[in-house]
Amino acid sequence: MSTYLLCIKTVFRKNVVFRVDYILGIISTCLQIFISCAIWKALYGKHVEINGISLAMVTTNFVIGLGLTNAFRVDDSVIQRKLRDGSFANELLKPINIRAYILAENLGDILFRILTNFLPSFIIAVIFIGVLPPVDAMAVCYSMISVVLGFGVFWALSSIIQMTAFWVMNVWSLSTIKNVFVNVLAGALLPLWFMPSSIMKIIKFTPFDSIYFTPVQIYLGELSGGDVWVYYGRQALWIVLLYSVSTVLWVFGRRRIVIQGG
Amino acid sequence: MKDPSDNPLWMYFFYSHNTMKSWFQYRVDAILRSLAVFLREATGIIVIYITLTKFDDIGGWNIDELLFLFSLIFITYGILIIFFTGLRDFENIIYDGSFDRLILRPRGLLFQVIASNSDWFAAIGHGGLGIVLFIYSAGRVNIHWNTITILYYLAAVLGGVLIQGAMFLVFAILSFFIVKASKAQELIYWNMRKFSGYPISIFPKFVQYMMMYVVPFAFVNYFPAQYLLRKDDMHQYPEIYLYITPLIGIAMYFIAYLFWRYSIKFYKSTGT
Amino acid sequence: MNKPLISVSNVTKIYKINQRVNGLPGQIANLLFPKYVDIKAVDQISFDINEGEVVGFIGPNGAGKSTTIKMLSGILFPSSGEIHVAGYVPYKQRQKYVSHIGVVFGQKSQLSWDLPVIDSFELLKHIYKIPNDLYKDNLTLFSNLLDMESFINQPVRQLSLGQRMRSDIAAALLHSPKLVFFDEPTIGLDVVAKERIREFIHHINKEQGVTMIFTSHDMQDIEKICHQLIIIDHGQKIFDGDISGFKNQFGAQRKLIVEFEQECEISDIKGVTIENMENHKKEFCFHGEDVQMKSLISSLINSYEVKDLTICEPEIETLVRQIYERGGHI
Repeated sequence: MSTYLLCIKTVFRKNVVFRVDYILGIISTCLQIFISCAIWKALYGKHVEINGISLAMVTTNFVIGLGLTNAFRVDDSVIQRKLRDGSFANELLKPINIRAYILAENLGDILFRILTNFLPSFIIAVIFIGVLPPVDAMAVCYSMISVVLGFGVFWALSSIIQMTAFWVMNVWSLSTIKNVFVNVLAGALLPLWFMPSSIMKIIKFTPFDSIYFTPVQIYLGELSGGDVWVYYGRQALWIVLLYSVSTVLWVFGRRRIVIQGG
Repeated sequence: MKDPSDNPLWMYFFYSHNTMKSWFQYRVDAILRSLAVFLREATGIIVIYITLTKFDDIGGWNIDELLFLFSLIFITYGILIIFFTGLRDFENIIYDGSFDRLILRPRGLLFQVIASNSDWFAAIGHGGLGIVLFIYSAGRVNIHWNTITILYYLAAVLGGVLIQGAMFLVFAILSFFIVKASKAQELIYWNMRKFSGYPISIFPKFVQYMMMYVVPFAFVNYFPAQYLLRKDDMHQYPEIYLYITPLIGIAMYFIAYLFWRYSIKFYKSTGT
Repeated sequence: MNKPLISVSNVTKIYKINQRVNGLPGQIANLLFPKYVDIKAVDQISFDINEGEVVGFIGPNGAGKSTTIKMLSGILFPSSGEIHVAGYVPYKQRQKYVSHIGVVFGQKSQLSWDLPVIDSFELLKHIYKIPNDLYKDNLTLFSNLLDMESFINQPVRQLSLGQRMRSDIAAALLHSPKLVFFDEPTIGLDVVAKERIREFIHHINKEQGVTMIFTSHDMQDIEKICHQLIIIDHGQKIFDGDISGFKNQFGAQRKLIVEFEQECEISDIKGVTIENMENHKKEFCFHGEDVQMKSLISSLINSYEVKDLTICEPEIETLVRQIYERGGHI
């Protein structure tokens, strides 16, 4: 267990070195939030509410959704790189669970980004744009738990993509497609309140909305009480499902190793 | 008989041919790449489309006009990336030492950088999407297509390519001076490009100034579209802006080129 | 009297390095007011090289070898001094100049990773505008001498290190340059591969009179191929002369490491410097002409309790340091 904790710490330290990176990262996230909010402000025009959704809610959706999008950046090419340069064989020799190790690395990266990208951007957004405060203190806690679960779903999904490195030359395309689907269907580009109902019906059966949208809903109080636990369950269910798929791929993939390089 | 390699265009396509062969070693990967790029950009459009079905118009521009606006960005980028991929990825050339190798070859440096790579997948992805959007919207918007408007459109596309090419060149030049300049490129180019899909008149003043005078995306698609569409919000801007896109492209590229020459000198006196 | 092909006069290269500071306040200060320190990578170097010669450039890492090579090949400007190669000033007439030189970087291939070797050659043919006949002749010659038939159609990423090196060397010579720079060409290769490359280089130099400059840490490379030797340390030229002169002076250095059963005092031996090491080991350095390895070993074994011994070949770093300590070149 301590190995993985050490891993998180190391990744954290590695990130601290690139100072310019995280300043640019904050600027980038804030820009994205600003752009989306400006567009929707223009869309709303004179309206205060559309379909019962206020501009402030939309803004909040973007701040949290886009903020998390930028924080949940996972490098899907981890396994691909190790296969390419031959170091995968070395990893197999080490007495550790490789996937747990990757999770630890990814976790370190994301914790770092939450602290240095999401939080500062959130604070800046609160100061300069009208972000709704949480419905109540409990909502904040509940939504944070939801964020953690949401990350779990995201990571399990990414893990599947990482596994495809065993079969595909370059995971970039699949990774990009995954990110596209997540961003769109999770409500970071278009608040899910405005998604046509036909598409919404389909989304309900996918893991995507539980990544960003569920936390937003809890924060705003759309979901409360018993509902929250139902949604937690949904998130947890997806984590289990996706992770199982990833495990299956992992087992088959290892057998199929084609090690390049040298 | 004249040596074909004297002709820069021929040489360029020879390089390009080699690059293509290199990329097509991996066929499945090739298809997936184009698909990924296309999907990534297309979903952006779909999102906008869905948004606008609920909202009718934004800033006085309806969905068809907006799609027309977008198509210009994608078409110019598609052409741009055929030629300027090397500049987009220039940071890598510097960091792995390949630039030294270019210095050692008896060909122009900028030429070699530009010819070194061609992201056909991005070109197909962006360019394809741009063409689809153009075909869809060109008929539905209020444009009278005749010789003049067609010529104008072509000149504007060319100007748009040069403007963005100059931007790429500036970011490439940054790699000579600062580490990880690609982050700045990502931040500035790609984020500001998101603004350009919309008529700049809906944004706060300082955003408009950025889009016109700092990263002139407005001249890539907004003003050319205005020339053809003549929407009301054009009144806020000087009329001459409608015509100067190609000039701006040439001027920007020329100035960027001078900086490039200077940076090479800098590189040669300080090493990596 | 023939003018030398390469003429370097009083060349100096100064780098400005940003002095990094630790700790956050220091880093912020550094960002706003960077402090630069001058580092002299090359200090008043002068030498001449005649056409057809093979010259070895040696010196410890960081001595200024690669900087000098980069200035000779036109990649860097000197801070002061003059360089003339084949009638050109390398950094001034770049495009014309580089068509007469070839460069082999041992660490980095110039070939396209995913393409067959022959495709990279075709590209070079066009870049250097090599006439058809010359291209075909060179291709056949290199293919034979370097035994490339078996892999010339394979992508570079599938080649072994030795095959890749051979391809890179052929690539650098394809346009029949007058002058070729080799930067660590045999690094990482096995003995047989090294030998084959050395033979090839030797052949090309003899038959075609190509001038060659080598940097290498491999003493054997230098010994077997080079006529002239230039040693650089701390940016200055320490030695400039022919190989035999060098061998006579320094090649005879020998070193013997002896492990004794226990700590013991060794009484002085004439002509031998003794250095103490850990684990009861001692290092004996001497000049091969003054002292014989055979006699030293037998006298030590007779007089002391010797557990183990190792006979060492002198390393370039040691040699250079010794030369530096002796203060100067011939």
